[in-house]
Amino acid sequence: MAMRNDMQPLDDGRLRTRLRESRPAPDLPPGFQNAVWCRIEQAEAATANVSLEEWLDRAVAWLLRPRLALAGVAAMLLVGFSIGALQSGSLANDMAKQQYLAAVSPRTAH
Amino acid sequence: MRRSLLILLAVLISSATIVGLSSVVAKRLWAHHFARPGDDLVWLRREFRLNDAELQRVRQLHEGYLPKCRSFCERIDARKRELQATLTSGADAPGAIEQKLIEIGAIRAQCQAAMLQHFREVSQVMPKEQGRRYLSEMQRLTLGFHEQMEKTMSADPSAPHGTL
Repeated sequence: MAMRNDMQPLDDGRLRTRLRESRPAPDLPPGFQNAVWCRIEQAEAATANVSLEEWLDRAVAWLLRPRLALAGVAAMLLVGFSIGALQSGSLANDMAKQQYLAAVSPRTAH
Repeated sequence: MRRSLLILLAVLISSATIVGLSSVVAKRLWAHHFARPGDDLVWLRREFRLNDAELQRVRQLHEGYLPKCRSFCERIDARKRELQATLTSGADAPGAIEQKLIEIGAIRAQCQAAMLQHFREVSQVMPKEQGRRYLSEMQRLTLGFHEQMEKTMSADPSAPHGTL
């Protein structure tokens, strides 16, 4: 009868308490937590450096792919032509003005 | 890492060069296209917002003035060649040199008077406000050039001209 009572399933709370009592945790040395955090931070910093290098290498390899390089050159040309076209108005005006002056007053145009 | 950085730098420099060169080329090409080198009056039409009828009238005046202007330039050039010949001949003829200088000055004055007359005529074809602006701008650009030169010379204490 007593055996039967002992074999009854324990609820979760009691089970956890008994397990904790059966495996006593040793006392942590002083400064243990700080040391752990230091090591974690160092490891993260090292990972960040490596990833920057890797990122740069990958970016360069990506940039140097022929298709992308060609597209990049085309885009730069497009940007340059657009800037030039936007700036051409004032130069065209100056050239036209000089041309008129050269026609009506050749000795003072230049 | 270092190699990648160098490549990245080279890519950036090349990109900037491509953008810079292509913008300069495009600027020149577009400017030539818009300026229309064959037509002297493009600037007038744009700057003073002339309509077709006004531009037509200005064109007539312009085409009538050009032969006169050319004739003055040829006469000035001929007198200058004569002056140069007198100077290089080595002959001691101060009277002849002075005479040539007077002739050149007289033709220049006639040329400027004709030019001013032309500007006045053109300004009268334009709308009133634009005409006033045109006349003022042309006087500044043509006569102002000589005045500026004279002022520069009189401001220089070593220059032989005084401020009389």
